[in-house]
Amino acid sequence: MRTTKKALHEIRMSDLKNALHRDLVSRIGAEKMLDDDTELFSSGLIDSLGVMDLISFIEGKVGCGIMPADITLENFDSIARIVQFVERLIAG
Amino acid sequence: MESVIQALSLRATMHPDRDALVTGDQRVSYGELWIRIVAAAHELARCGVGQDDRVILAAPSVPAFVYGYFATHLVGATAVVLDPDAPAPRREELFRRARPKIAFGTNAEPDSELGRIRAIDELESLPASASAFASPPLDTLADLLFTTGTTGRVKGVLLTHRNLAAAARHINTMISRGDGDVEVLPLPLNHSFGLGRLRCNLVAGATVVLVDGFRLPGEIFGAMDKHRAAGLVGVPAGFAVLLRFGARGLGLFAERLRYVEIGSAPMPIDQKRALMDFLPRTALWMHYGLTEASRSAFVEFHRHADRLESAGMAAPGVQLRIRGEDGSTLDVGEAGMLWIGGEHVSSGYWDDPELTVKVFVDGWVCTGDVAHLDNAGFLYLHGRKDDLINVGGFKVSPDEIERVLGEHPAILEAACIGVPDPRKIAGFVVQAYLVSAAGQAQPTDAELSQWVSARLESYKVPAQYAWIPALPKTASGKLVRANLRNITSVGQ
Repeated sequence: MRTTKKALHEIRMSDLKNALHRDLVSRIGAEKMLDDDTELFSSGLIDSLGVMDLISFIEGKVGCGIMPADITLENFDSIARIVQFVERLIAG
Repeated sequence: MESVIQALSLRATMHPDRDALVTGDQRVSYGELWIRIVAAAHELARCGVGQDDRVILAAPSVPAFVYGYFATHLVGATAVVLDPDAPAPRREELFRRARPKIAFGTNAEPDSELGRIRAIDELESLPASASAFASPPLDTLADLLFTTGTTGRVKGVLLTHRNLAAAARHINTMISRGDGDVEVLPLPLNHSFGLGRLRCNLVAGATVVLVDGFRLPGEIFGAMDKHRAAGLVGVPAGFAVLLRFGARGLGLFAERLRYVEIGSAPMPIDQKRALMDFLPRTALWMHYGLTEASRSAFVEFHRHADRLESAGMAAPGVQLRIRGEDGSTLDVGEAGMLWIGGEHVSSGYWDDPELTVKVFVDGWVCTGDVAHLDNAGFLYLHGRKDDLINVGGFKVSPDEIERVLGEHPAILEAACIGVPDPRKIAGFVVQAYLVSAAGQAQPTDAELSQWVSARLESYKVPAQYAWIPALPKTASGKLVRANLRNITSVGQ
C-alpha cells in the first residue's frame, strides 16, 4: 500500500474526483443527483455498510492508508471534501 | 420500584451540574435536562395530552428528542418513537395505527396529510416552570415501539414504566460502572437498543455522548477520545467497521475503555476474539433480547471465554424457559421454543389482540427463537422458528420485501432469504430471487434497489438479486424458502 510521496503527488485530483463520482454512481444508482457538494453521509446516501467500501476505494486510488480518526463528516461528507482531504493527506 | 422518570428527577437534584447529554458542542446538564423535560411536559399538557394519549417522536437523536420522550412519560402519555427517515408509506401506516394526539418531526409540517407535525426543535426553547406533575403509576403505558413482525405486518410492542425500570435495573446490575462515567452512544434513539441505553445511563447518573451512527469511525473515535469515554455500545455491524482498523482504532482505547455492550444481532466468533485481543481489560458484554423482553441474557467474553457461542445467562430477575410443542418445560440440553419471563416483559401488542394472546401467556413471552440451555444456565440459540432476517441488528421480514418487489411490473413473483454478508459487516443481507413477468424487460439491480428503497427502510433493500425461471413451491403452491439456497440464477 505504501507509495512514494512523489508518486502520490502525481495523482491528479480531477482523476480522483471523476473516479469517485463513477464509483459512487455505480453504488447508489445513476438516477440519484450527485455533484461535488452532495452530502454523502448527512443525507443518508451512504450508510454504515457503504463507508468501508468507499474507504477501500480511496485507499486503492491514493495508495496509502487512511487513519480511522480522519474518517469524519468534515472530511468525507461530499466528493469535494474528500478531494480536499486527500490533497492535505498527500501534502502532509 | 422507582420509575425511570423518578430516577431522572432524583439525579437532577443530586448532581444538577453534571453533564447528562453531549452532542457535538452542545452539553446538557442533569439540572437543565430536567428543566427542559418539565417545560416540554407543560407544553404537552397545554395541548391536551394526558394519560391514554400517544405522542409521536419521529426525529433524529438530539437533546430535544430526549426532552419530548421523557416529557411524554411525565404527563402519563405513551411515547411512540419512529425512524425520521422512514419512507412515506411506512410513516403513514405507523401514524395511522398510532393515532397520536401530537407529533414531532425533524421539521415542522403544519399542513401534513397526517395532521400537524411540529418541529422537535420547538422543545428546545420553551419557558421553564416548576413541575406540577405526579409520576405516573408503574403500570401506566410508557412506550409503544414498532418492530418488524413475522408476516411483514409491523408489531406495536407496549411497554409500561415498570417494564422500562426493570430492564434498566437488570442491565445496570450486569454492566456496572463508575458514578458519572461517560458512554459514547452511536445508536439511534428510535431503536430499542439505543433508547434502552439512554435510560440506563440517565438512571445511573452517567453522561451520554450522542454520536450519529457508526457510519464514520472518526466520529466515534473522536468522541471517545475527546470525552474520555469509559463505555461504548453498538451492534455487531458497527463493531465490524471499527475492527477493520485493529490496533490503530479500538486498540488505542484499551486502557481507558472499561465496558462495551453489544447487541441486536449475532456476532461472529472471530469478531468476538478480535475484540478480546484489542480490548483485553475491557468488560465485553453481549446481550440477547427482543423489543418485547429487552436484554434478557448476557455473556461477557473474557469471563465466559469458553462459552463465546452462547447467548449468555439470564439477567437478574429474568427467567428463561425452553418449552416443547405441548408447552411442557424441556430438560437441560433439549432444544425447544424459548420463553422469557420477568418484570421487563411487555404485556402485549398494540391493536393486535389475536397475536397478543398467542405470544404473551401468563407474563411470559414466546420469543420465536429455538434454543437450549446448558447445565450452567447458558443459553444457546439454534435459529428462528420463522423466516425473519437479522440485517445489522434490524429484523427484516422477507414477506414485506417480496410484496414490494411483486408490485414491480416486470416481476411476476419474488422470494427473499438472508445470506451471510460477503463484506462481513451486517451479519446477514437480503438476497432476492425474482421471476420475470412475461414480455417485460428485466430491470437492473440499481433500479430494483431504488424501487424498494422508495417504499421500505434502507436496511430492507436486497443486497443481491437473482433471476430464476420459477420459485420452488410445494404441490399446494406454498413457497419452500429453504430450497432457494440451492438455486443457481439464470441470465440477466
